[in-house]
Amino acid sequence: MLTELDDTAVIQLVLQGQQAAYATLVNRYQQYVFTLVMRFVNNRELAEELAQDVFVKAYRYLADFKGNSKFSTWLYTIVNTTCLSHIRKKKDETILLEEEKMVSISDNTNTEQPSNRMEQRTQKQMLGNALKHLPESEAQVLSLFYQGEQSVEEIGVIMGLTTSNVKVKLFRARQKLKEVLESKYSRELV
Amino acid sequence: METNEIEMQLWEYLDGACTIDDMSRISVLIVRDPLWKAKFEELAALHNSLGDSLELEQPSLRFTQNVMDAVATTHVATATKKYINKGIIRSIAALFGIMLTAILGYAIANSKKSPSNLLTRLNLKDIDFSALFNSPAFNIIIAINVVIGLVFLDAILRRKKAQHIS
Repeated sequence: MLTELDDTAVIQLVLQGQQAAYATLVNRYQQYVFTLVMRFVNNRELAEELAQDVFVKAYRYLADFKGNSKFSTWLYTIVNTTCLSHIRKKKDETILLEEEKMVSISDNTNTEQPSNRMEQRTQKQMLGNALKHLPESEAQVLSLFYQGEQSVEEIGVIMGLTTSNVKVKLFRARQKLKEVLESKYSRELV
Repeated sequence: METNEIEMQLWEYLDGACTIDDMSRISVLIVRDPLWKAKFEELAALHNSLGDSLELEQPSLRFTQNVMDAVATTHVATATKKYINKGIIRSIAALFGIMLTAILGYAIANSKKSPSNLLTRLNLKDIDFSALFNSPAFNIIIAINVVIGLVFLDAILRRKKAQHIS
């Protein structure tokens, strides 16, 4: 029954003291939150820990959710701040691909093992892998736009950027993704 | 037109983020111009793949239970707006203002009265304040400031009234 309620109704139940209702929101958004966290840290255990932290924070400050935006937008803002503060603390250990460390795509063209290249990749795997070659902020923009179903304006709120900055970031992210797909997965694309 | 510019316009077209005029202009270009058509097909394929094929990561099966266990020992905090009182913030600001003024006043009053000191050279009794207040320019400035002050006060009162009604 709870699964049929919209986010606002579930939040009201939680605020009225029905703590168990919060599980509905966790079930509803856990994959989105976990995916977004995985864009920041490439370690499942750590990502799960951070995602859990996000939901606990969201629960603690649930009374502050004013309903001016979608619950998902508010939740992804917490994802963003939680992950960024974690990265600031443990920068060297956790970032897989920092922007400044991003290896030139052209240099990487032939670095994959032949056996890997021979593997039959599904389009999903291919895109998922290609996303890992993008800087975290660009992978995050793409995830928010296509997976999180957030508008450009909402992404701006989540990432603390202007709408025009989000548009530019989105454009760059798609261009880079296209380049990665063409250079690394051209065989599979044929 | 550069390829980059074409692609930027096409992405806006695919996102539905361009104006109606641009939308129809780009639609025509896609039909008539082979370069635009090729680029559109390429970007549309990527756009659709991203929309359909990007997989969501799946956390462990115990994830919800772990969150609920952690939440069990947590309480929902009171909404920030309930305990942040604007009156208190203003009082703190006023207190700081008074303290700064007091410190400044004390410092000026206790400064050494050297010949170079401005206060010793200035004799307030020698200043003719009546001439200042009788100056038309000074009175005009004061009048303008009073009018601006009243306009601001009116705006604040109107806003408060509107908030009260709503």
